[in-house]
Amino acid sequence: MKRNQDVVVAEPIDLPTERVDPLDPPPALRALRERDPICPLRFSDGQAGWLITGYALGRSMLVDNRFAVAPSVMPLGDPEVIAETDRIERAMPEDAGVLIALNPPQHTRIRRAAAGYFTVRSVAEREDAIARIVAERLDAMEAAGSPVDLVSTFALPLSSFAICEVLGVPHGDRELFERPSAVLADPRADADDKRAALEDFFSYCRQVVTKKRTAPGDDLLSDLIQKGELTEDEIVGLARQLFEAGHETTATQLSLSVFTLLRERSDWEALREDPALIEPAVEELLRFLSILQMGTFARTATEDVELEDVTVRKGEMVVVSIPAANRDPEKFADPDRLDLGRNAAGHVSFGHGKHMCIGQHLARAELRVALRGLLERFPDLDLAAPAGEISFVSEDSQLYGVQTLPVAW
Amino acid sequence: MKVIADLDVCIGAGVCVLTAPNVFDQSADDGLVRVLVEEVPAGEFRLAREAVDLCPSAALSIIDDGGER
Repeated sequence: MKRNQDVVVAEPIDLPTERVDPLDPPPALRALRERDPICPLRFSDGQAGWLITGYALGRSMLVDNRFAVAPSVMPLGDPEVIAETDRIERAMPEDAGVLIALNPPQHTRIRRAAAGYFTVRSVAEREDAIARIVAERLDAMEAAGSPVDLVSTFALPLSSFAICEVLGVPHGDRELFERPSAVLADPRADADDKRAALEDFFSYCRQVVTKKRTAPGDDLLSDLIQKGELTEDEIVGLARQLFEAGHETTATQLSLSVFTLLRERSDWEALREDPALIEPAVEELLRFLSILQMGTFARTATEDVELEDVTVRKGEMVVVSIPAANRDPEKFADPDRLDLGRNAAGHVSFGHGKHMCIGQHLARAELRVALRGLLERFPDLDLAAPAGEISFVSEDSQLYGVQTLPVAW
Repeated sequence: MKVIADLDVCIGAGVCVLTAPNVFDQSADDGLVRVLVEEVPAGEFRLAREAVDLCPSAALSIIDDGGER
């Protein structure tokens, strides 16, 4: 049966955002997955596309070469700001290096030029540097004294400093990429704000690349310049994406992970008693929390494609709900239970397909080293406010997490 | 069991190395996969299969599965 050849076609839905428990996806996603693992979705600009909530279907779409990355149209947010920002961004020459906006063969060429710095081994060689950053942040927490905000004292500087090391810029530069990234991620910023943020961001990245040209170091950007395979614009664009994607995501995941472990104190105690559990716990927390709440960046069908019982027409957009796919019981038994010891491999929190997160091993290393450091230094860490009073980001934020996390010891 | 890799589609995500480090490695230059073993040892069958299944770009395949292990 081809559902969209039926007389009655289901009305497109709006992406569900209403949560009951702050750590569980909106319950409506579960109902959708059970009934319609692919269903019509209304994007913020009014056009209809598709939402995939089933794990297997989502994974197969993301690896299917008949889908390409689409202009950035989001299920939520102000459609005019999104469209205008996309137009501004695509008119900038540096857009040629922003991986998430590219399709093969450009995507393949640029990704390969950078991938050597994000291999499992390359990240393992950086683990000592990450441990030094973590130790400094733990010292800073101690110096500030209990209680502190874990986000601003620990998680955010830690992930910013880690990407500084990879790209070879001083830690003091963090403001220069944190500020424009925050504006670009802010659902309430208007198109002028976004344009200014993009210009500041690319201008900063260009200055960094210019400096590296005259004074190269042992870092990714110096290496890309020396190899000479990418244009200046491509290196600048890539740098921007790595700065941007390299700090907010990991900081958000880390803070939300600590909240999760402290809310159910037994999970924190379990990690304290058995540090070998930290590695699988990091993976399980990635699956369970699925912070990219709006799902993957949209893909566009480049031809008519049959997915289960629907036909996605050429030009239509498809989004995979990461929170829904990661809670699919056909893939993960008892999916709504946080089970720190389970094998959570295969979760789609880093995406899937050719755009799967290039920094995933770096993120894992930061999360692992940071949790180990917190558990060792502050074994009695606790929330400094009732769990119910912790404030979360707004429902239309791309990244789901806590705004601040007061902790005490 | 043998594993083959299609380097035209590999994106160097390294999921295979994370999953089965005795079977796969990555080039330090472009991150692309290197299959370390001509024949996958029997003790690595399960992890090798998992790595093939998890590959984000469907670059890996198994030939001569080697049966249940």
